Amino acid sequence: MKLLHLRTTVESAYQKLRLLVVALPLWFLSIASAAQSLDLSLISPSDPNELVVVLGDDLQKCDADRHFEVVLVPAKPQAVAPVPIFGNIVSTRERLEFQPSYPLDYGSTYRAVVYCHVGSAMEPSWQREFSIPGRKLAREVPKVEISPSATDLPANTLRFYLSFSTDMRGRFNRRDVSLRDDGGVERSGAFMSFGQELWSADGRRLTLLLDPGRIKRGVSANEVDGAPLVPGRRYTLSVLDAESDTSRAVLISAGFRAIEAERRPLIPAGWSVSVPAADTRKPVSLIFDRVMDRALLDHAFKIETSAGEVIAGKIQIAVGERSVDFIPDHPWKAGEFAIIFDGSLEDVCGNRIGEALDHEIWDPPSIEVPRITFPIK
Amino acid sequence: MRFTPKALLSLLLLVSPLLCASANAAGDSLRYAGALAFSPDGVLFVGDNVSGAIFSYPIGRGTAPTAASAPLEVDNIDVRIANALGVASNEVTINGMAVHPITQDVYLSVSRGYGDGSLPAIVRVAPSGQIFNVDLHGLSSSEYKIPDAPGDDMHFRDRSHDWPVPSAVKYDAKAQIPVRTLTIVDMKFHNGELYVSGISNEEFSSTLRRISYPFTGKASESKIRMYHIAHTRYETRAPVRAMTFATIDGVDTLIAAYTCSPLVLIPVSALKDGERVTGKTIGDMGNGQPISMFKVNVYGQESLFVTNMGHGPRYIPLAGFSKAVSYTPDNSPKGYPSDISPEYPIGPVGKAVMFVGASLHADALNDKFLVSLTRDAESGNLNLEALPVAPLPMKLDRIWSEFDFPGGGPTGN
Repeated sequence: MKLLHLRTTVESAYQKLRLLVVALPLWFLSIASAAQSLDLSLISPSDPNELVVVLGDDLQKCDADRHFEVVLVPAKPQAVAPVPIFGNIVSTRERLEFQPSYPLDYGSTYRAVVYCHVGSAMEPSWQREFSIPGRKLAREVPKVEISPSATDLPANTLRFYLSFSTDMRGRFNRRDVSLRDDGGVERSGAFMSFGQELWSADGRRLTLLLDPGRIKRGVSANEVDGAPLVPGRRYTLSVLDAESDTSRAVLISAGFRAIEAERRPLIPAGWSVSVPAADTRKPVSLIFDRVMDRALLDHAFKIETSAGEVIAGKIQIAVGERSVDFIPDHPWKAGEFAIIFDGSLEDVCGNRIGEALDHEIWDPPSIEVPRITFPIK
Repeated sequence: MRFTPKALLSLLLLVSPLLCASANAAGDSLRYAGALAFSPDGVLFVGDNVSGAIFSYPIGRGTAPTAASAPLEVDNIDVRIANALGVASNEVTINGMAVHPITQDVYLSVSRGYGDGSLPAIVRVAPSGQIFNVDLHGLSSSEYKIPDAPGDDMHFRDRSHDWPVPSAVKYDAKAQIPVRTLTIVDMKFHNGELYVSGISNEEFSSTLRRISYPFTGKASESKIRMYHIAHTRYETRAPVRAMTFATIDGVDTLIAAYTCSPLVLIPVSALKDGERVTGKTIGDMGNGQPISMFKVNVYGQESLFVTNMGHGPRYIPLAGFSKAVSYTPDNSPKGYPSDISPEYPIGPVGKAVMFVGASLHADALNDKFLVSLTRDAESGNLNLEALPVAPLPMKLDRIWSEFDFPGGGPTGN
């Protein structure tokens, strides 16, 4: 029996994150030379980005003119035959070692090929395809929250946020978000695709934008494909665990129902305020007429006294993003107060104060006083 | 207490990040491979807008190609590079390009993957068209850390109400990109110094840095102001997009191209540390964003070749810069001139020349050819192609004219 081993491991980009890397098993998709055996193990746990082929007798015979390469097996047809991947090859009579210059990619399939001289031509004498499955790390599973948390969302909802318990830049791929409708049809194509993922500065919040072509009226994608969310239908947004072995376990999912699109600008005069008594630290509650953008709400307003003094305190956003409590650091004093809104405040559909997202081109925004006054007695 | 060599090494490793210029283990430190430039001796400079640093790699002088090989032509260069990096073509972005001044190898800076998880790579394309990895780990690099690079928290203004397209959402996304992506925009090596255009973390952000090489950690930094004809105002924020050097009226001069699209002269001697320099606006190439600018010799006439994201490229004879008029608010067209205004383009800005497809990066290859990373107009393929400087930088395989018909050749009638 011919003896042939293929051993391979994958360096992880996560080494840079100083997490423990463990070896990945390979999935062998096809076996070109059925009689040859396989041996999967690490060359060195500290430098696992190495692939070794231990050669059978037949291949040892052609060691003078042997050529070895590893190529990507493209998932889709492409215009040119794959160029062999960059790497260093150390070849002895009995074995070939290959160290890719760049780590093999998770979820990709590769083909290792040994060429020998047959007559005057170099021909593939042995080849094997293998794929690198999903990521597997010794790690804590990150916690993640989805916002908005409201269960009824306008059909033209613009942004979803995934808030992680840790810096997930480079560890999470947008492909790991699934949006399915109540018919079980995958709708995650509704999310916009950028060259750059929209991470917060601390890498803990990822912004997902629904394709604006599918949100804005009169833009062709909207007319052809319809809005990404259809009023009356139910949807499930799921975040899959990019780093789980192969099952892509669901980290969290949120269900919601799409309701009619919200295309009105924000009008603070239409919101209500519930006011506590003086000399308490009870919250002032601001109740909106719609679901607000969770991330923008964090910094979008302040409360001042009639003398313009800013009240220190904390905010708590209610589940559903339709109201927010402001809890002062010190007890309220009797007097007149004003909630002053920042121009950046938006509802979940991107409508701003006095200015709907989906307005006529170059319409001047209507002037709305971005403040609400209230007394505390 | 005795210091063992190992302990000393550890101490050095601890201290090294504190030094502005430090030798390091090359590829380990590079986080993003952006703008590229070569010194005449074959030192490759790589701009890294994520680290806010410039890395140098001594590639070496090498030898000039001997045989007159066929002009460089590599179709689907992005697919080939992606595959060689182990991924599919949509997983790579080519960020920059520079030609080795002696070997005529084309160096491309590449990102594999997107965002913070991406890997930087430098790829060499030989005159034969063969593609090689540049093993940065095997080269002794040095680093110049830009002391006043913008931080992660500075972002662009949301322009969603400046213009009807694209949708507000895309402007919103643009406004979430950190401005540090413009820390290093273009780099050129000139008379022993690396010149770097880009921005700093100040409101007067447009900055030209002069960095002597080998890196010592010191650099001269000037703030650049210029009169923008189309915007009818002096500008200090947006950086020089492309630059080169020439002697104009006996003065060693930096020629700067800006977005929408002033051409500005700055005497090199004015670029002193801490100075605020107002460049001389001598013209405007029309709207659009310059990408690459370098010198070519067109039938004996020294000219600039300037590519642009919004237009085809231009040949601009340098002779026209002599005694050129300086545009200021006093002698500029009133209002907001644009491509559709009769005044545009303005000044000695040469001519637009035929070019098939869109050049994403370009550089001089040799006396007769330039090289362009070109997005093909019909297929959308990304090709690396040598093109003749004269008579025109184009190919005939994608256009059909009278000349293509039997009997319709150049000598026919």
